[in-house]
Amino acid sequence: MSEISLTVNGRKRLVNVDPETPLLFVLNDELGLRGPRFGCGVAQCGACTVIMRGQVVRSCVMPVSAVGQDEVTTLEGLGTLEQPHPIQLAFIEEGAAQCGFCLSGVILTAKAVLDANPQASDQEIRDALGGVLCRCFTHTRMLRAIRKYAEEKKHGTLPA
Amino acid sequence: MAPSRREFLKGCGALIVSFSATPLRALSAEGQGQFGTRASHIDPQKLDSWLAVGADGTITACTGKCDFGQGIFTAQTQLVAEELCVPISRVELIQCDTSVCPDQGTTSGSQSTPTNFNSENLALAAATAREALLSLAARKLGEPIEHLTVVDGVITGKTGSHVRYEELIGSKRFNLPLNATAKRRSAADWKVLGKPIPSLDRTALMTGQFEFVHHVRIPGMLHGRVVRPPEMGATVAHVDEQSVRNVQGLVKVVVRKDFVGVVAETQHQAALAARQLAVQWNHGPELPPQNDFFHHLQKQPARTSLPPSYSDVDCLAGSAAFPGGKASPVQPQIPQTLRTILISRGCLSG
Repeated sequence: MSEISLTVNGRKRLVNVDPETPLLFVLNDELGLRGPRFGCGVAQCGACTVIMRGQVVRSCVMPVSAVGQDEVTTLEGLGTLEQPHPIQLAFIEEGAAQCGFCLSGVILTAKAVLDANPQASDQEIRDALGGVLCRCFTHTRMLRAIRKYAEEKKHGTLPA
Repeated sequence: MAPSRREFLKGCGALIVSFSATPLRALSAEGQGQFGTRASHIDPQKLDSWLAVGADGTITACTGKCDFGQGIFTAQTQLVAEELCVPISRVELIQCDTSVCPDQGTTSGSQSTPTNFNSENLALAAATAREALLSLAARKLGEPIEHLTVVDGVITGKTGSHVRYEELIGSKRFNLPLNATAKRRSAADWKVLGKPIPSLDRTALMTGQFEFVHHVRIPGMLHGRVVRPPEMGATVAHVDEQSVRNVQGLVKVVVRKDFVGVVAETQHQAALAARQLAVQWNHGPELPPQNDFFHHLQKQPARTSLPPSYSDVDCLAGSAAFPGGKASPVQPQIPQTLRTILISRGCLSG
């Protein structure tokens, strides 16, 4: 067991765990976060996705000791129930989920792609989402929601 | 003192989603039975097993059919609101927590709608409750039931006198059986059910606040992991428990016939032990030839009758509505794919 300091969704957190523990289990069990989910456990489905340094990371295979000083952003780090982030709002408006288990992968991947390149084409977004599985087959609505958010972002119509 | 599971869930305002893990084998063995409502410590014949009116007029309903993307959390809430003549916001639905809900077996096979939205189970409970409340109101207001109308949980008589649900029964039990002759509200009068509304859990899902069963934590709970065989139908030859001796927090290696699992104090320890446990497996039966797979499927035992809820289709087949319905020359071949394998399964036992 070691004491490890993390910055998650803007807050400093101290946990006392086996340093080999995957970040996902720390987020779920030590910090009580529900955004990242255990899907496959082997970085193949994307349900456990978080953002670090602007990049998507599969938290199910990243030892918590490897996180270091980088801030970790989870799905609940974007917006709240009362004030969802614009990309979450686009998903709400488009009804772009059925069971929703995959949403950390879908929403955070789309956000990371568009943050890095606001001009990203539909094909680039699709390629980025290639490693994210949605078993409900809600892809069309998701792509519609992402496009909606991308257009708002591009045209600067998003609230600050 | 540790809180009971029910209190714990209440405290979290929990919305439970559990993914059923009934193996495919059970499908053919039990047929439709697995979707049915059965007696547990919660008696499905009693109205109080399904529904309660709180002191503040909130309707709490319990269901054994669970939402995992079909939208039945919202639809069942609409059903209860419709039958009780209250707005959706006054209904709290508890899904599939078997400590408090009727056991309705598996949620699958498109059977939730015929099970809970026709004239049995949840729909019948809600209709029974409305009629019971009307009877109570008739007595209290001194007017015949035919003179009473209900809007937003307020029952009003012809004289204008009125009474609220919670004044009739708030936080007390109905102590009634389900009434098989209770009438559903006529579809022509529906105000809530059958209307398109955004799913009630949508914002929670999108913002990462939704609580899947995978996230429910009870103080002192242990974590389990299944150790999967390397191939279909493999059987256990030997399990070397010594191979996980050094895994901290390991509580138990569980072997039941050909099921192998581990239990540990944390998820990480359980995952480690499951990976590390040395199991020797006997080969399973060979896979059917893949180049002649449809032929293989056609030779398998099959159920040719339709589920009872589709009996109208049986009657109609061959009639004017479905000419040639019984002797269709078409033999469609659909690639056999089971997307269900993609579900992350979890369960919680208290």
